[in-house]
Amino acid sequence: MTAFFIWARRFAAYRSLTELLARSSLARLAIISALPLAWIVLANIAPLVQMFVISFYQSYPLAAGTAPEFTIRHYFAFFERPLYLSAFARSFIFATLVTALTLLVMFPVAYYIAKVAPRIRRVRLLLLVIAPFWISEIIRSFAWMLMLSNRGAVNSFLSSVGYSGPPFELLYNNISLTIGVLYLTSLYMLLPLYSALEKIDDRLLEAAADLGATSFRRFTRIILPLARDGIVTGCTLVFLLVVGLYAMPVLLGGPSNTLFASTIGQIFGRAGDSWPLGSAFSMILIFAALAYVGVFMAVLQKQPGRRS
Amino acid sequence: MKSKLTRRTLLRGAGATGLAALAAPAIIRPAFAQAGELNVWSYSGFITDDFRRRFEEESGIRLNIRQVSDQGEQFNLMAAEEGNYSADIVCCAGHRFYQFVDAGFLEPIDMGKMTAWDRIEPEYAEATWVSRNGERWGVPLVVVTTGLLYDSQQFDKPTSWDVMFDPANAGRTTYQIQDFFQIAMNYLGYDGSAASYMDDPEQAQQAVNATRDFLIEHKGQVRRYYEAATEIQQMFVNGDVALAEAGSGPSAQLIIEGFPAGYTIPEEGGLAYAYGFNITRNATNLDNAYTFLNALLSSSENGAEIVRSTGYESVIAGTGEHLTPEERAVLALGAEERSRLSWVDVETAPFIFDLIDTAAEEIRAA
Amino acid sequence: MMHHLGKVALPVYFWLFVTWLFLPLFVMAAMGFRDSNFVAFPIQSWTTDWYQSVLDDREILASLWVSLQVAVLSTILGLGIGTPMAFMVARFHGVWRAILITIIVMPAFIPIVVSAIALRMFIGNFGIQTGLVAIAFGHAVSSVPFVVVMLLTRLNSMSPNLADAARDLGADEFIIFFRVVLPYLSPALFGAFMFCMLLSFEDFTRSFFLGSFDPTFPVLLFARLRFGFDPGLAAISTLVLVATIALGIYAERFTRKRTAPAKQGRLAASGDDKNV
Repeated sequence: MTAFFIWARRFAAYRSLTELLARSSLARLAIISALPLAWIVLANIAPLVQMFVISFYQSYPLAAGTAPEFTIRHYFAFFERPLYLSAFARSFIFATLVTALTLLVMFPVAYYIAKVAPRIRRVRLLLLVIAPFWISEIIRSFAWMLMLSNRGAVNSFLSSVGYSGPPFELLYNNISLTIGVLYLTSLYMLLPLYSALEKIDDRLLEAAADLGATSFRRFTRIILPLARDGIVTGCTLVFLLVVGLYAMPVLLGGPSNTLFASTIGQIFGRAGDSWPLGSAFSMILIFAALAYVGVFMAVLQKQPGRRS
Repeated sequence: MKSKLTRRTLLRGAGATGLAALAAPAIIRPAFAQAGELNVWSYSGFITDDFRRRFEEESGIRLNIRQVSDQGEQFNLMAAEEGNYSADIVCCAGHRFYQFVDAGFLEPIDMGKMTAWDRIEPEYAEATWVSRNGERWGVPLVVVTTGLLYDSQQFDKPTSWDVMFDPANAGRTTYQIQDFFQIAMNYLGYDGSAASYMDDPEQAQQAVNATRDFLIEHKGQVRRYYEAATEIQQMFVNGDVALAEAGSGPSAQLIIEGFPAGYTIPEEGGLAYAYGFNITRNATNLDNAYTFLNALLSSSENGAEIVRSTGYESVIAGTGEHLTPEERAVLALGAEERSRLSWVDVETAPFIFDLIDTAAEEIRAA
Repeated sequence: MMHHLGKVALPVYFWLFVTWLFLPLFVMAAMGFRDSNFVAFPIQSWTTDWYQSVLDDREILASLWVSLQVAVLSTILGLGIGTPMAFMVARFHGVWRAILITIIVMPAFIPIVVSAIALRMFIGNFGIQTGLVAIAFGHAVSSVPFVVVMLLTRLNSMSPNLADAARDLGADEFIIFFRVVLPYLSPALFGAFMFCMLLSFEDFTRSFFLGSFDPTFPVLLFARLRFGFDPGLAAISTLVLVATIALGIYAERFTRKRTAPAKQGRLAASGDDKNV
């Protein structure tokens, strides 16, 4: 690779380009930004604008041969019916709790792989933990049903060791939902945490230990601050994921676990001219979630010890 | 070993040419509208591998089949295609296909080209479910009934939907809210088909609200609201539920497999409708579409194959002769139970389903 | 105490976690041997028919091939767009940065059904046919936000001195990028790569809406699932799992052999070789 660039230096055009890049940060920005900006406009903004427009249609898809009419009633519908607000609130509370739980469960796992396990085995351990995610989410949900149902693995095991009472109802409630979602989110927390923990210099910890810092102090004063970027990233990813989740709660949740994304999914799934309502609710979800994560990030950025 | 009329035998049959086909993967096919092709969206089991092979050999038309799994999915996909449909034939018939008609997604069936129409059992050929605005919009293939599936080790054949609301069965029932809603309306003495409310929306709303409140009040009975038919099978096999409002197909598959269960239409009634195929508006391969639909209906052996792969009753005349006595016993409903079925009426359905959809959301969120 | 925690409690916890992760999958693998059309306990009689039928099933094999192509294509797209995007964001600060990040992560917030439908209509505007390329595009749209966020985490901690030192040694901007910056990013890049592959390989909704008559693996699986979760589906999933683990081990061996000398050199130089 390097040889190629050294070879390229024979050409005046390449030399003047690299000189320009070295001199001008604006030029560096331009060469880096061209493609991403085009992508942002094309892939992020355009479909969103399209959805935003649809959310103001009276009905869509339009019945054959009718002209569109516009309205903002779909946004009002959200506030008119308490059932939407309760599903909405449930989504945010659930996503927050699951995010916190995922962080608690995954931090030691990430720490073990990044700092404790022999360096040479790290990638192998990572691959091992990632492996189950090659199976589709739906199949993984079914695998958990096999574990938790009334005649599932857990209850079968219990009765084989002599338990004779009625089977434990582990499925289609908060237990199964939380287990299933945690199974899904663990990966999204692990990768950023690993990436952040991996770069903490071991010598820093050793030095702190030599200076007599207790392990708790080392954890709160060195590891946590240095892993903060990873924690923030992981929490953001997991939160996003859980707020938008709609298949898993339907499969593993019970009759009273309806989340807002599932509601939106059902509005789109029921066939008919209900896209505007679904779009309006999606816009509400998007902006509420963005605001929520924004506040979360802003609070963390204000913490002392932040470099930039 | 008991006889297995299952997908597994079909899979084995289909697999013979498997690896050879993979050696030269024709994965990226050029898109639609070629001569000698037909693009079909189908539910699993509606076009069996045997039929497909025979049809492709005899007609020279290549079938591109895309398996779909429900009506809403197809509706959204067609809406997103904005008139430029990738399929010639879709599989949206069922109790809600009026939405496809009203959205202008479909082409009315040209009866002059349906030479095999007379192969449909007369009982099903003239039913109301495919007619809307004076046109016929689909070709039926199988008949679906919705009734009560019960664990026969725990229950004698129930005669009433009462069992679903018996506190002794709390947490052991399941249903698909929208389907069960009409049954529950009938159970409570209202008119689930809404035909009698057509001129009185207020009365319809009252009936729907009362039913909704009743179902919310009895939410403790429900282990879970299911969405896809197979979920009931899984819940039964796993012992999670013992009673369910269920479709005839999945129920029959469960019983034929030897699971101790029974299927009945209780005295307050059940629903019936047809699944089949429809032609999309401006379909590119229109003539091939009719060739296909006629071929599909013209053999009663094919009817029997479809019964075996789906568990649903076939509309093709003479299908019963190709089934074993055990298979017939599982599929057949007695005359009395049959009389309790109400056929979904496409003309009144839009009216009541709008109300039911909203009520279903409220039940779920309650 | 830290010593104990590190040497005993943490490994125990880690392997418990791995057990939790794999236990349901082992149960599923066992179900693939059940001689019945439904999966359930107990398994009274066993058969290898289901596993055999998978290997003969041309639909499955073809769909896996489609999925693989889509995954590779969308990963190339996702990393190719996401990496420069992360660099772009890193140049901004304050409010602008917040706005940029907000716009970039937006696709991740949109419920998948909605974004899938929006994308389907969107590619229609440009006359792009549904199929492999459209699905890969759809997957890249969803994976770019994850790539950017992950790379930014790592990029934030990169000292500007590194690039400056390289520049002083006569490296031009391209050499700095490929020899200094990218290697520093490699753990995050590995994570992002995994993300893109996984997201693509297991996605159903976008693949369904953007797909054509050749289904991806999850799309085929879902259509079959709808008509019964038989042991065949458990067998398929198990085989896919085993194959990916085998591939992962092979890839890891392969890269370790090739990079081992260089890596050891680097580690020794940093004085951090106690674990090697």
